[in-house]
Amino acid sequence: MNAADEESLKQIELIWRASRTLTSSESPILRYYALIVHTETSAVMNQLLIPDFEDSGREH
Amino acid sequence: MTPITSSYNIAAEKADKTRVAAWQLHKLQKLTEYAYNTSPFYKNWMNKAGAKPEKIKSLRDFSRMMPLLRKEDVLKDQALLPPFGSRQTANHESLVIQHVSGGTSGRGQELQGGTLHDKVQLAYLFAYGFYYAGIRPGDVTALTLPVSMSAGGTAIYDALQRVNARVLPIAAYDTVSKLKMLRQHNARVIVATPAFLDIMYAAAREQLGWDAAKDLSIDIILTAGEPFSVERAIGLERAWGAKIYEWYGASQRVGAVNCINGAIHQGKRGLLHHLPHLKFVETLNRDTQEPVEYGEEGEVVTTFLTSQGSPLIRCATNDKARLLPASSCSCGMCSDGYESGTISRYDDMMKVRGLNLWPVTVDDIVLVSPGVKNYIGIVSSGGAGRENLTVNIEFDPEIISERKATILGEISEKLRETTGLRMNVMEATFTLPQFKDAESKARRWRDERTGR
Repeated sequence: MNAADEESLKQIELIWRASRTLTSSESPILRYYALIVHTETSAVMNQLLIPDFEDSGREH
Repeated sequence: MTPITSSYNIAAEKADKTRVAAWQLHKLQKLTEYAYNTSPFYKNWMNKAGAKPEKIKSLRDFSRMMPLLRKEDVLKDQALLPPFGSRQTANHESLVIQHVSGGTSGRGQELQGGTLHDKVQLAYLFAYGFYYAGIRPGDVTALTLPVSMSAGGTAIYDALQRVNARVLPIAAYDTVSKLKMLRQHNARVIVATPAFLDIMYAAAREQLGWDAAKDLSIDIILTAGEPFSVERAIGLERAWGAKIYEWYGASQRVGAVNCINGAIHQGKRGLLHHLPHLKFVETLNRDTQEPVEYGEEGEVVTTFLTSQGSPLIRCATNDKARLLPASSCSCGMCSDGYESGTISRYDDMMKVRGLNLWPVTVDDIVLVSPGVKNYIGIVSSGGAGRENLTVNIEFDPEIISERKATILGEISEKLRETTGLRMNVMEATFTLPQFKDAESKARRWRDERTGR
């Protein structure tokens, strides 16, 4: 993996963490958005065989 | 501009077997722990087998300790706690999909519930194959599978969207309307079973006067649902002027996909690659339940690694497949797979006059015979315990009577040579059932023997 991809992965992890927090928002529209983003970031990490935070999807 | 490569996700495609095995073990440990802690069914299932999650230290432990989950086990659980059974692991508010198995066994249908996570993961499973087939953003893709209670339509629709295809959901229209839409929208890809491709091809010729290869712009055929011979696949490719790619899928979240080489490569069968980073697949001898060797056939047993809604752990699919090594394919991917076009069901086999008869064997002879459009086989009881086999042939309309007799004789002889069974091969005197859509599996055999 090159440096640019490594940096992108760090960004994905930030998005993943932020979206996880948002899943408990009081706003239905934000909760839905968070679920979509969190699921997609989780899924893409899973495709890349990166085990660190893929399991968290089950917290929903 | 986006670079066009044959690789969809090099991290998975080139991962060596040691890394993949470590990944699978990690995921299986998480999955079994999750199922044990959230599902009364699995807690009881694992306790009974002495297979508590903390005991699983290797893939071998997993296979050795965890019992096979069969359809009967799932149906029994569903009956006790409808509709999903106590196997269900996600709460109901999290479920966004549900689907039932195809019901081909006639013994009832398993119901699976899935979360958004399951929906996305399932879509990825097939998206790999669709990318390898050559579908690129904006490609118009005619989907003949209906969105229904079966998993196929929804999962394939989702997978096509993963590769940014422009999907034409044409399942609801009649065959001629479907064909007109293919032409109107310049469809480059069609998703259909082999049986339905035959029907569409015949309708194009007979009702619209079109040559599918010349009057339509299909380059890629995505197919699944029934086995096919090399000759039949090549015939379909010629008829449509397109290359065939197969995927293998079932409601048990099993899946395998052709690589860039397709279902037929250089006149031979291609490989349906496993995607081992998404699922743990075992291919077991039905008698010994031991893993088969490369080149041998066995039952497909699958565990989708990331299930949230309705995990299926070591699910025995009743599907029969021939295991082949990654090295049997020239594409360079590291995953083993199944021989393309040959996956069938164990319960398709019929015992007739003491011999095993596989419908696919008859398909391979009858459907590639010149002038044959379709057929229906019937096994029935005769007098004095006799068992009669009748093969009712539907001919293409242009075949003249004299030629029909020759074709029937040739088919009869080939069937006897190949199966060891003498069959009454005749022109159908009734209208053969049509396989209306790509979801309907072509079930060409009826067992009408008394007492069955």
